[in-house]
Parts: sequence; structure tokens; C-alpha cells
Amino acid sequence: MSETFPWSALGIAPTSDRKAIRKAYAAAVKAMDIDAEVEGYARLRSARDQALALAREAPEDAVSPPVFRDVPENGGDPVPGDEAASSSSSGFWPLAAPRLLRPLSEGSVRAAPQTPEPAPGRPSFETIFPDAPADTPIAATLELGPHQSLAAPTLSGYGEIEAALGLIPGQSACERLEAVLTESDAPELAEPERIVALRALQAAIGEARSEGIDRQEQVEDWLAGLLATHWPRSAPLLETATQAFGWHEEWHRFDARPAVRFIGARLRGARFRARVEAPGHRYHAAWRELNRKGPAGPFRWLRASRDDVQFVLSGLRANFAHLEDELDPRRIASWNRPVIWPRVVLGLCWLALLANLLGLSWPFGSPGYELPDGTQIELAEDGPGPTLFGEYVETAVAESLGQGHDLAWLWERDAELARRIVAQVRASLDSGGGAEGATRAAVNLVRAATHAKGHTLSGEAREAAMRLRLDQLRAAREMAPATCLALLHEGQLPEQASAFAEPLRARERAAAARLAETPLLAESRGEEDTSVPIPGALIDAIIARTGLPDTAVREALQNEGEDAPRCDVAIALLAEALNWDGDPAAREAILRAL
Amino acid sequence: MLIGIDLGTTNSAAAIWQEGAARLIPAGADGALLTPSAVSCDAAGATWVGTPARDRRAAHPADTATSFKRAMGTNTLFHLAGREFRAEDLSALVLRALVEDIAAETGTRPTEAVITVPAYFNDRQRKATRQAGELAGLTVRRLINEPTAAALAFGLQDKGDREPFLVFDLGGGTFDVSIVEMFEGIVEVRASAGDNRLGGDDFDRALIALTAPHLDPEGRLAGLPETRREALLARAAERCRKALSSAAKADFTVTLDGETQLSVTVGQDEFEAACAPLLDRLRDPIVRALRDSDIAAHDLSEIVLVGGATRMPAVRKAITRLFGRFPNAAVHPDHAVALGAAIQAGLAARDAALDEVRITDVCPYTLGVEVAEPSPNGGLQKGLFSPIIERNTPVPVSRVQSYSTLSDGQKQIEFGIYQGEAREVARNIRLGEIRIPVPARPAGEVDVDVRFSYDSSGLLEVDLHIPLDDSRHNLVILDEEDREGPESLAARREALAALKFHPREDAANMALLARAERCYEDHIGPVRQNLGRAITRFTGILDTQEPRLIAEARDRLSAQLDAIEGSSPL
Repeated sequence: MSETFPWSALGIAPTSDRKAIRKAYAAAVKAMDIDAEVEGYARLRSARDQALALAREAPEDAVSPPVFRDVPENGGDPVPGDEAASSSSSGFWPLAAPRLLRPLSEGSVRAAPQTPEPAPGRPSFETIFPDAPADTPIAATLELGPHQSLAAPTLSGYGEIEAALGLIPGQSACERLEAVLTESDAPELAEPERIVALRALQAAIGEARSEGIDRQEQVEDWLAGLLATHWPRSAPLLETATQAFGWHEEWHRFDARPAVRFIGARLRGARFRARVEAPGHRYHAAWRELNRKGPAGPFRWLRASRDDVQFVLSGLRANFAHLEDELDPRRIASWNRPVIWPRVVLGLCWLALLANLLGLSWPFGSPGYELPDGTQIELAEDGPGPTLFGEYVETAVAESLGQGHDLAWLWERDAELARRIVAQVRASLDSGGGAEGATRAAVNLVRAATHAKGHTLSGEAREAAMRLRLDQLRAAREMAPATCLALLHEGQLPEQASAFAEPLRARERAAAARLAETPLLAESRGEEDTSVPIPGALIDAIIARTGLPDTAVREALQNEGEDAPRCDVAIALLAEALNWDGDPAAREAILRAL
Repeated sequence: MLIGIDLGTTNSAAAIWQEGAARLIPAGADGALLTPSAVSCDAAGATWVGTPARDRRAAHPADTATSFKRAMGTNTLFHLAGREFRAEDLSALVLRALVEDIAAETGTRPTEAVITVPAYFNDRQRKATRQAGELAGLTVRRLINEPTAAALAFGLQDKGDREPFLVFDLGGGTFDVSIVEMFEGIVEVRASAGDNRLGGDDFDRALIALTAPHLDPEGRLAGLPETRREALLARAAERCRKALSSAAKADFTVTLDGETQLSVTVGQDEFEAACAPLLDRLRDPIVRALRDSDIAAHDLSEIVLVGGATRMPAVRKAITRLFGRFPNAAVHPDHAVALGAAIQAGLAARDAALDEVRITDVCPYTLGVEVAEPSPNGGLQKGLFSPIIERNTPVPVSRVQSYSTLSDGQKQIEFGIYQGEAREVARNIRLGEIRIPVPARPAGEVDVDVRFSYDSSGLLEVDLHIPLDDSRHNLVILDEEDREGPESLAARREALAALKFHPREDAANMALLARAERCYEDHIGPVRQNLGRAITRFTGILDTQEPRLIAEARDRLSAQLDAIEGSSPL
């Protein structure tokens, strides 16, 4: 284009006067029949737009673009070049090509040699897994610009105290959510964190909903970026956010925002996994097989059909590449090797014979452990067998909930917790923790769950839960201040800590068993106002009880200083709040916060 | 004469450009400006269109069609009294009724029209609308997007410059958003987005679902034939929704027979809560239009409401919340679109009064072809969408994109033509396909230039050019809808013409009779008995064929109905 392009087409001298530009454009449009002069009109439009852009840049710096919209996507969609240019010259997209056709003589016009159509009778991956996007696989990480917090903290009078406790920071819901997601590098949100994060997310969505569309968009953009950058920690939040903002409508669009597309691929991956992990799914066996550790032996075809495994694997690669990263590459590699039949048959005979002779169980595919609802849990090949594993689970349950309770009992009352205990035992065994480690991990898990659940109760039951909490904190303080803080913030004892003494353990078990019988906590329970004022009388009492100077108490409440005073102050606050007969609402709020 | 027609889901209207102004044409004898988009038939082949057809729905639900605009461009068939109609046929009947009204009003029979369509109507739906015009004997000079028409009507009120404003058009069956700017007499649509499956009808359905658990404890509705039950509920919902527009509470009442009425009271708050999922769906098109036009919501100068469903307080509240200000109700929500269509008609006819006015629109969705791409893991990914005209490009527009062959010795290329925003063509709307022979060469050596031309009416043309052998192909879209040749079109026009319509003066009597029957269906007890007697008397007088007697009886019955319904006819 000539140097004078926009101005020559508009028939005016270069100017930064928007009105003059629009006037010239209007005159030119009125002088032409745009339906007859399509190219001329396109040229005039782009001249006008360019002139206006130049005029806008002239007086002041251009406004910086929104954070996420301009981030180039990994792998990159081909983006058409300059609109103005592509209408006159033929823009060519290097990646775009027409659908491949075989020469007509071969009859079919649709088949492509490289990727054979699925055999008849086998529906496509997309049909079986409707969430599967025929997308370019999304890279494992997403480069996103730094995102800024949206809102200034909404501190109430005692904001710094709440912040100091690290439990209910005096922050906006958005900031709280960001804090929960960023405060640790752990790949998963621990149980109490998950609940806090989910509530913060719901609050943030609720706040956005009551605002105007500009603000909603801002929050939406920000949230998409936050959740995408903090995946996989953000995994339990994706579904809620997606439903709230309709991202499922957007993520398959070719111009979807990178963060939304990223979230979409992750969420669909999770849905795919949930579906295929359900026993009875057409590809359940193939999925289970791919999830085993170590290379597959020559008998792999007995556990899953080769076609099925290949089908799942190729679908996985095309759609949820990040899921493949979680599988053992050795396992995948061995499935990519051809099976050598004669050896297999021979080996099979030998092994069958051996197995019979030794009275062993069938050696192909490790046997599963059956959950009370009939679901089979896959066990590690080199781990304990189903019987032994079952014993470990029962030990863990009895140790967590007291003698006389078994998995079947718990399953009836709180299947979710039961499932998690089994998973925890399995994970501990897999990571070499042994039976003892498995039991300790289960006890810790139940402790955290009991505490989280206790929070949702009211009246006597909560009172009892909080008194137990107080004694747990005290016992942990006896061990080490750090242990106490770990319990306070994560609801769990650190791995290396020794167990609580027997009388306290008995109370924990009784509480856990009692709570297992009360209905599950409702996650949707909206978070009320999270600013908790702590009355001066209580602060005085804390000073008296701990014997710490006023400044130290304040420091501890700001989450600063040594572990020991921080722990002591938290214990004192809980103890004083429990014994306090002041304003019931304020007391309730403090207990809820702890 | 060139006329403007708003062919709506619930109501239609016609307007003409005359003496420098757009004017609506009254429908039928009673002077109403809207014609309900309804068609009803009886076994003898008699056909009712408009108000009488809508009224007949009460007594003859199976033989009456409404909201057929929602089926435009599909193969859905409507069965009325043993005859089959497609949505285009029914629309053509409505168009013909409007043409009759204009002929009666002006003494000239119009032959050309500008017809409005929802901005988000796709290529098939637009073609169907054009065909409906042709079936009604009209040359469709142009299709214009409804929010664009409304923007014209709004913008030309004072012809002054306007900073970008947003037209919020929620009709009976479709939802459109357009962002429009006005300067120097140019009405420029910056972006449009929409949801062509969201409208007032959906709010009626939400109301029906809301009342269902309480309305009918004895399950009496379940015993009725489905069409009748649906008609009863739809009518009750429409009435109740209208009442809720001006009151905090309204009754949802269904009259089953002479003795029984089922009734539930619905509060505004309950209704609003039930509509929440629908109200949520308003947000997405607004956000898309704002993003595409790169305008922040707070920079909009006005929010202009169009479409009958924007009368709902729930919708207005949602708009006020979304934009943080009250919407502008300066244009008549039911009339603006037809008036805008008449202005466009004036523009198309190069009327001197509109010499300084031009309108430019955009293509609201992306158009492109199906391609295959080598995928990162070595395979070939098929079924991908390669955009050629991106959404919200100003129209008319013509764009070229080059594609090449992918296998050695390939002899033919097939281009699937799609409309939509998804990366995979499977999620987009297939408009057609074209197959062309190509010279056999090694892969990638044969280029094909694909040119898409999109005109001001929103219709697409595809041209292919192979530079290698300089061959050219113009697309004849191989589309099921398009297979019909001109003969079958003519045959369908004749079939429609064969339907019997009542002569104009007779039509007024038929309309009144239908209204009386609807009223009869709506009431119980003595009122119903009185009405029954009045109807018998009136039909008796019609048989005398005495014009004076009939006129008197008509006035009497009409007054009686007005008294019963407590309001004027519309």
C-alpha cells in the first residue's frame, strides 16, 4: 500500500480529527453503490479504520490491551493476516489444506490413507467421548501474562487479625481464591483448602453476577487466567467456573481465549477420565491397562484388546495429551510393540501350568480389591494381594473410627470418605509407606475430614468438635509448635510427627464415627460474611492466658513471629472463645473461622 | 411498490415508505397494526390467517399453526386439517395476508418487498425466508436484519449523530444484539450476535414448567389430546406473562370445559427465579458483540429495546443490572422493525428523502470451508474449519483464500461449506458442498482459490478458481433444501393459491366468530352459556346473507365480547 494509503482513499489530507475522517468516509460511501463495488467498499472501510487508528494513536498512547486476549497460543492457530491485505492478495495459510481425497478411481472419496477410518462397528472417539475436542492438543503448560488482583481488600475492622490467622483473610472473594491457589506448590488442593477455594469461587461468581457486564467480563477473564495458570491445583474448581460463565460454549470456538481453551481441555480430560474409570465402560479395561506401572508383559492382550488400547491411546493423544503424560511411558511403549504370537502361546501354557502347580492365583493382571459397591480397585502388581490389602484397609478404618467399625459400615454412611480411605491406603502402599504408613495416612485423612465436617455443624455437635480441636491443638503443641501450626492450617499432622496419645485418639475415633453418621456436608452452603470481629475482651483474655506481651499477641495474629507464640495465641483464642458467653453471633463467627 | 415486512415469530407487520416517512398498515378490518403469525385450516380447505387463526387455536388446536418461524429452514412439516405445510408455506400465507392489507389500504398491489430476518438467522433460514416471499408472489429485494431495521427506525428519529448504541431485540423466538453507530447519515452496524433459539416462547415454557406441579393436582390435563393440552397451556402462559408485565401477581388459568377452570397464582419474583437460566443466556451474545466491536459496555450511549418480550419486567431488570442503567424504550418494541424495513425499502427505491442516509451491516457469523491439517503427532486431522469470512466483517464482502491438494495424484477436491464459530466443522452448520476435478499432480502442487461473496441480504456465493489450468467453478450448493427446481416452486405456489380464503368483508365475520369461539373456550358457567347462544344466533344471521342484518349483529356480538373480555380487541 502506498504511503498515503488511508488518506488517498478517503480523499483528504492526513489529519487526527476523527470527525473529518468520518465525514470524508460518509461522503465517499454515499457516492458509491456498495453492493456493486464490493472491493471498493472494502478498501474504503479499511482506509477509514486505519485513519481512525492513526488518529487515535496520534494524541496519546494507545490503551494497553486486556491481559489475556492478546496472548499468543502455544502451537498457534493460523491467524489470517491483515484483513485489508487478504481481500486483495490471496492470503495463504500454511497449515490449511483441503480435505484429502483419494483419486476417484478408488471409489471412496472420504478415506485418508494416514489415519484409517475406524473399523465398521466401532464408533469414533468423539462419539464415545462427546467431550473429546478435535483440537490441536494443548501444551502442558500455558504461558499467560501476570494477572492483577481485581479488587482492593475489603477489610473490616479486625481485618489484620483474620489475615493473621490465615484462615479468613479480610479479602475480597477473588483475592481469597487467589491466595488459596498460590499459597502452596502442592499439585492438589488439600481438603480444607478445596472447600475454602470452592466457596471463594462461588462468592466471586455471585459478586460478579450482581455487577454490570463490564465488570463481569473482567472477573471472567481474570478467573480464566487464574484457574489456567494454577492448574492442576485449580482442577476441582473448573466445573463450577465453567458452568457459571458458559465456557463450554466458548472452548470449541476457533477464536476461544487461550485460557478458556486450556481449561476446556483439562476439564474434558477429567470428564473423560471419570467416564472411562467407571467399571463397565466399553474402554474401562483398556484404560486400566494403560494406567499400570512398568512395561506390559507379553500377556498384555489378555487384559485388554489391542484395538481398544490403540483406540484409547490415539484418542488420548489427539484430545487430552496432558493425560498421556500421567501414564507410564514404558507401558505405552510396550503396547506400541507388536505382540509375537508363538512366544505368547507357549509362555501362556507354561505359566498356566506353573500357576496350577504352585496353587497361585491367575497371574495375568493383578487381581482387584472389591469395594462394598462391587467396584473393582486395581492393585499394584508388586503390592499386597486383595486379601492383604483388605486387611490393611480394615485396620485403617478401625484405627480411624474405632474398633467395631469396618469399611462396609462406613460405606453405608459416608461412601465418599470410605472411598478416599481406600484410595489413601493404596497410595501410601504404592509410595512405599508400608502398612503402618497407610494407617497413619488414613487417620490423618479422617482427622482432616472430621474437622472440615465439624465446621458445617451447629449447636452441641459443633461445640464438641471444637473442644476436640482445642485438645488436638494442645497435644500437637506439646510435640512441637510447627506440628500445631500444621494441624491448624492443614487439619493434618505432618508425616513425621508421632501419633497422639491414646485418650485423645479414642476421642478422635468417637468423633469421627459420630460424624460419619451425620449427613455429608453441603458444599453449596454459601459462605457468609467472612470478616470476623474479635472483641477486645477476648484479646485481653488471650494476653492474660498466654502471658505474652500485647505486641507479641498482635504480631502472632498477623501470622508473624515465632511458631510457638502463633500456636499459643491460636490455642488461647479457641479456648477463650469456647468459654466466652458474650455475643453468640460473634462467638459463632470466631468458631467458624477456626 | 416496495414494502417493508417484519415477519415475526408471534406477530408480523407491514409498513410502507410514503411521503418521506414510514407508516404501518392496519391489518384487516379492525384497524390493529399487528397480524399474528398464525395459520388455521379446516377440512373443507378454508384458511384463516392472523387474528382469526390465532383465535381458532383455542377450539381447533390441531389445525392451527403458530411460531412456525422457529422451523424456518428445516424440513419440519405442519399438518393442518389433513394438509401438509412447511414453515415457508405458512410464512407465505402470512405474507400474502399482509399484501392484501396493503392493497386494500393503498389501492395498489405491492410486488416487491424488503423482509426482515433475525440477524442470527443462518443461510438456510434466510433462503427459506426469501422463498416464502416468492411463494407469496413478492420479489424479495432485500433481507434486512431485524436489529438493523430497528436501529434504522431509532436512528432516523432525528437523524443526528449517535455514539455506539446497542439494540437488544428479544422477540417471540429469537434473540439478537447489534451494536450500531450513526454519523453523517451513515447507520453503521459494528457487530451483531445472537441466539436463534431464545425468545418469549421460552419464557412461556418456563412459566408452564413453574406452574405444572401446582396447576393440576388431579391430573385432568393428562387426559386431553396433546395438541389441545399444549394449546391451552400456551395460551394460559401467554396471558399470564402479559399480565405479569404490569402486575406483581397474575393468575395462570386454564379453562378445561364448561365447568372447570384450573388456576394458580404466580408472583413476579417466582417467575423471575424460574427465568434465571434464560436470563443468563442473554449475557453471552451481548459479550460477544461488545468484544467483536471492541466497545466497553459503559461506552454505549443507549440500550434500545425491541421485540415484544422486552416488555417483561424480568428482562428489563436483567438488562438494567447488566448495563448499570435503564434501557431506552423510545421506539415501539413491536413496530420498530417493520418501520425500519420500510425505511430500507425507501432506501432501496432510492427515495429522495433518504438521499443522505446509508446503512452498512455486517455478517454476524463466520463462513469457511472444511480442511485437513497435519497433526503434531504425525497423523492427519480432518474436519477442521478454516474461516474465509470472519464474523462481523462489513458486508457486502468478497474474500479469497487459497488451499492446496494433500495427496499425490489427487483428482478431485471436495469443499464442505460451513457457517459457525467452532474449530471442528461438525459443530458448525453445513451449508453445502462443492466437488471439483483437479489436474493430477504431486501433493500440494495444485492450488485452489476459494472466493466467498456475501451480499447485503446475507446470502452467500462461492467461486473456485484453479490457477494451474485456469478453470473456474461457480458453486451450485448441493443442499437438500435447494434441490427443488423452479417447477416445484411454481407447483407449491399454486397449491397455496388453491386454498380458500374468505372474501374481505366475509373475513371480518369469520374473525369475529373465531374470537367468540376463543372467548367461549376461556370462560365457564353462565358467561359461557350466553356466549354459546350468541354464537348460534350470529351464525344464523350470517346464513340470511342480509348485509344490513349481518352488520348489526356483528356490532352487537363485538360489543358483547368487548364487555366480556373487559378490553378493546388488542
